[in-house]
Amino acid sequence: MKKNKVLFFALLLFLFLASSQLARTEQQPKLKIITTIYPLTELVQNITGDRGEVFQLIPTGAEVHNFQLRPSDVAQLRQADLLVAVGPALEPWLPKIETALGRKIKQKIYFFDELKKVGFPGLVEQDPHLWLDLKADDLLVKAVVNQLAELDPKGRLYYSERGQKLRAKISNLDREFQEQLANCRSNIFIVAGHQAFGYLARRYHLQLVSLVGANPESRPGLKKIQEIIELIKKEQVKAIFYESSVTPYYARAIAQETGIELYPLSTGVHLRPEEIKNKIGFLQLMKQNLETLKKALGCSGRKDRQ
Amino acid sequence: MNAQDEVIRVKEVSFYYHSIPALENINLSITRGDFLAIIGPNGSGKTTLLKLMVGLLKPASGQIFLFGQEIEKFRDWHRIGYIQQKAINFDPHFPISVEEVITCSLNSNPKVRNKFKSKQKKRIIESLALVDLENLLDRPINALSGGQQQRVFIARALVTEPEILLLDEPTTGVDLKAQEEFYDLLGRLNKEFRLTIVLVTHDFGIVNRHVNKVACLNQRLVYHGQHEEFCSSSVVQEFLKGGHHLVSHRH
Amino acid sequence: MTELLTSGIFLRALLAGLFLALACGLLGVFLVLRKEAMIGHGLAHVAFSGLALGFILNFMPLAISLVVCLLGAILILEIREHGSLYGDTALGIISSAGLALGILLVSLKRGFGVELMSFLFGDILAISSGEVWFSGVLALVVVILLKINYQALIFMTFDRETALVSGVRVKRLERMLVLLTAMTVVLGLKLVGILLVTALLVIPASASLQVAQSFKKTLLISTLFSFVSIISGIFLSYWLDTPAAAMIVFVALLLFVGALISKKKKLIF
Ligand SMILES: Nc1ncnc2c1ncn2[C@@H]1O[C@H](COP(=O)(O)OP(=O)(O)OP(=O)(O)O)[C@@H](O)[C@H]1O
Ligand SMILES: [Mg+2]
Repeated sequence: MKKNKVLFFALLLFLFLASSQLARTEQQPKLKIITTIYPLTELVQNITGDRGEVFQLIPTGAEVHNFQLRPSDVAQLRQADLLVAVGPALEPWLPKIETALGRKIKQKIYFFDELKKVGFPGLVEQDPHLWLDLKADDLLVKAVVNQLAELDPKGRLYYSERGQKLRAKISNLDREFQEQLANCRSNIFIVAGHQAFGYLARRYHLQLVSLVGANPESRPGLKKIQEIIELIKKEQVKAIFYESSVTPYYARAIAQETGIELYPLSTGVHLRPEEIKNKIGFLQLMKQNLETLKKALGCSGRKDRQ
Repeated sequence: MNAQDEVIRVKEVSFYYHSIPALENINLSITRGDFLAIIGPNGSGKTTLLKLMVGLLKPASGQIFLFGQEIEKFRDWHRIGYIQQKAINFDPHFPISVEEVITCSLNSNPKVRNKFKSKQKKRIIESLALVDLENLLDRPINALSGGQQQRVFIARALVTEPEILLLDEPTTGVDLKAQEEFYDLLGRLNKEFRLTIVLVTHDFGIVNRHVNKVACLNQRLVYHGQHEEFCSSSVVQEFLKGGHHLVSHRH
Repeated sequence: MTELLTSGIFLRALLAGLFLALACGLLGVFLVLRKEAMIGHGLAHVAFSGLALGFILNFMPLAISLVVCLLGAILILEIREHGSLYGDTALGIISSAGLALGILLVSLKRGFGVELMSFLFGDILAISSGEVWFSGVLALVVVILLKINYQALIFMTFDRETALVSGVRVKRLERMLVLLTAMTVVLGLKLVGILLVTALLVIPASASLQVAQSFKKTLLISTLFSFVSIISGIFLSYWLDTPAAAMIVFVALLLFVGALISKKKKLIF
């Protein structure tokens, strides 16, 4: 009888421990991932699904280069399991944040470093706009999936499945870009803004002419503006692009000289208020960019040729 | 006395700087042709009284009349010439020629501007001639000596043909000889043009022979009267005993 | 070169720049002599908060900035008059208030950082015909008001107390100067940016003060220096392919150094 009692209590204890163990796995805190800009947020969120919580450090639309931390940001950073950022060309202030925190952030993925590791062609140290290259996005997704699986081994399958799906979407879109931007009336791709579309232009064989360099704050010189005007006249270019989030002062001024038409492109970083409201996804923005480019450059696409 | 001839009347005027009294119950009358010296120790309220008379300060109580008119309603400021204490302590880098200093005064008021409309230049040279500076028209003012600068300010005050000139210690920082010339000039203006003059000074001795009225100030008006009576007055003897050095030894 | 001279962008920049230079060159002399050189700087900060407000309301940021800047200017005068403060303390208070408000507004919305950046350096090479007109009207208003009140302004700048006694409406004119400066600052914001508008208000005037012997010549030389800065700044921007606003200020600085040397050599006018 005594034996039975012991057994009973042992069973009870086992059940209790087991259930508490079970409860703990269920309530396991979600992975906390910090990203810096919207495209990264979007991609990472697509992978983590419900298993992770993504916090974007720089609010969509705020200036990236001179970003300043709020106290609540520091609190977020303290709890972070993983940081996903582009690299020092975009977030030169990140090392300072670690000093401010007083410790290193546990795990970090720098977009630029990931690409460098695999010898990604055409990398430019000063140009941080890697996310506008869909092939690069693909590599980032791969890296994030691996890192998440390491941090949360139970979710390995979950992450890799979602990663696969996302990568399929990305490569589909990439193929659409390849196909639809073939056969354009002109492949001169003039951007009256900073050099954000370098990787994109290279991937789809567009001849990019930007008004200013990679820094959105710098102002163009008069010479550059005149050169672009002359190029437009000489090559009879029909379209000039601007970043959709800012007022296109320069594009308008050039249009007034040449009668060229204005087209907005999104960098995915600074969204328009209505885009923020509609929670438009990064890949959707890229799709919009494709439509705009196609229309503006007068591309008939590969399929039409057949 | 003809009311017409009363240039300034100060009636029961008191003034406070942040509730600290500077002047109490001042009564004073200035008649056309007067050469009044206001004397008193440092901080006795001489500058304050002058500023009240030209409207830079508003009395806490009492009234001031200019040419028989309440000061609040008075608009003919060209009839009054004012030279402030430390007038020559202006910004030494200020780029302004002698002519410009005087021209701006001549145009400060539509009435004078119209009065001299076509003969501005002539009037400017006239007023400079009064102080013997007519050939320094184009000189920047900071390239003049302190005494010359002082005379330019006299010319500026005179160019509008004022009827009264109020000067607040005009000769600080000017050498003795220049001072004497300067007061001779004031005496001449007073006699020849019947210009009324109110002069705040520390050095009574040097103006002694030009002045016909004296006011001794020390927060209150200690003495106000004819010049001849001044020196013998017992009030002034009291005043002097206070250690204040009013009368210069040279004369 | 001929293409440049017929280019609308170049001509608009030049024209608006010259108008701005005229306003700045003239007003600057009064501000510097009244030891209010930093008022442009302070008002630029106030205008900045106006821009931020405009972006938040999503409604004509430049116009809102103008209104806020005018209000700020009046506030500076009121505080100065009633606060019994030293020198440019009122200016310091208002400009910090403006900056703090601007930063607060920016962080509230955190969505227009890039747009606001555009006003750090201005966009003289991308202005519309409307903005050229605005500059022209502003310059005209400045010239006319300064011309009408020319003698009174000299008087009160040189000797405020005596001017008051002579019946010059000093307070009204001071208000006028500050309000004109506020308008000029907002225009300057659009053309050369927050950082450089102070430079245009201060440097040509200070340079001119080194060599001029009379008030009239100071105004003329200051305006001349302003003009030269704008014109050669824009041409240098073309030849060296550098931002126009920076070149304009650079030329102004060179002129200032030149004026200092010229003063040393007793080459004065
Ligand atoms: N702006 C001011 N604020 C406060 N108190 C003042 C001010 N100006 C003068 N006072 C005070 O008022 C009193 C009278 O000053 P006021 O300048 O009239 O004297 P003053 O007779 O002209 O002296 P001085 O011979 O030194 O020129 C002094 O006690 C002075 O300290
Ligand atoms: Mg005094």
